[in-house]
Amino acid sequence: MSTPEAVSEREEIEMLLPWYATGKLDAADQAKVEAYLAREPALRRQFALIEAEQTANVALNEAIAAPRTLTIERSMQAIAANTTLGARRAAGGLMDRVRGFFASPTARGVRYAAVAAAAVFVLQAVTIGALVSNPQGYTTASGGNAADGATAIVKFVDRASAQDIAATLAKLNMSVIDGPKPGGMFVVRLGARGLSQTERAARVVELRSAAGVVGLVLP
Amino acid sequence: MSPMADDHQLMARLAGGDEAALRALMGRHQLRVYRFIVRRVRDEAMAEELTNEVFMDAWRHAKSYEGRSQPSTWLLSIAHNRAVSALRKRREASLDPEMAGAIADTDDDPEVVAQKGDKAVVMRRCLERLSDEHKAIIDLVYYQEMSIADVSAIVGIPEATVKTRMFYARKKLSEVMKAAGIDRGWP
Repeated sequence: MSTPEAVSEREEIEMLLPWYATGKLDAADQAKVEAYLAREPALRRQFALIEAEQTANVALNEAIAAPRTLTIERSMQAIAANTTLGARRAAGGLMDRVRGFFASPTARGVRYAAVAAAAVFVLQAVTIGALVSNPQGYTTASGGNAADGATAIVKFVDRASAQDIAATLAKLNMSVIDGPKPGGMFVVRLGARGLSQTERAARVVELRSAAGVVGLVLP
Repeated sequence: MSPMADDHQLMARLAGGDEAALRALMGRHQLRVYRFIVRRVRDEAMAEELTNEVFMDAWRHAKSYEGRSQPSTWLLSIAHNRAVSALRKRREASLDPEMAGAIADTDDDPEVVAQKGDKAVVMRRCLERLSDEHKAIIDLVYYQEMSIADVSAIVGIPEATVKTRMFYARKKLSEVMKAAGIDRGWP
């Protein structure tokens, strides 16, 4: 005796028909459907319904045009700003990347965030530019810089001026070597390569102590 | 070479950090991913952002792709998760009147369209009246042309549930059309 939940053979076949119609059934299910249709050809009437459903659904999807702003180039820029793809694109220089950051936002939320942060970023971009042009600073970012353990991720406080940031970093003999990252973070070189863990921790403490300029330090 | 074989090659190159492979993958799948997402979240700007995040995830996690499903299935699976997560967050912010307005359905009722006599338009309107779950499965089967196993992987439900969900989505469509004045004669 069948339970109320039991599925009749007809229903089981009906369930497979959409995939039969789109040619996406595996061989076993396809054979099952074809055997049933040979016995019950009336079920073929379903194909007209399925075709109408598919036509309407495809039309709904194809009516959706990609927004003008959704281009591969812009997507690549957005991805570069958030992933290691960005780290591999050091050749363009930091200022290009700061400009790219503002050029790349496409979606509304990102645009709002960019506008809200623009004033801070511009100040920080100026700071970065000054540091990059400083012969004692680092001109490019590379995986090696981040990998040698002598860097930290830093967010400067919003109210810090370009001069404050430049002065603080110069005083600590540190440099911005990458950024802006998502959330307005920058990669700061803490010191020469090969710092010991103790020295590195001490440098992080020094950086954190610049409370009026440095908001967050992630070792 | 088949597009599917090409896609697998692109995934292998992506895992090796090949930026050109990411561009090629986007060239092939960006629009279909965007369409899938925008039909879930009904917000173009959000869908655009989420589409970028899908390819960001693909770039980040290409090494974990094991080739057990097609790359298109893998991408739509990421897209589904991103959309579900975004919808959850939006529900939490559902008291925001601006947000509620942004997703309001401004189309004619199917009944009104039925009176105008265009059966194809009625069908489209009725498809839009289905639940999110039903719309998603219909998109995956009819537009994205995914197999039962693919849909199961993308939505994260058993294959038996995929079949019954599609079945009930089609039944519900018939009900909605009937309410709009069009009897499809099924079920």
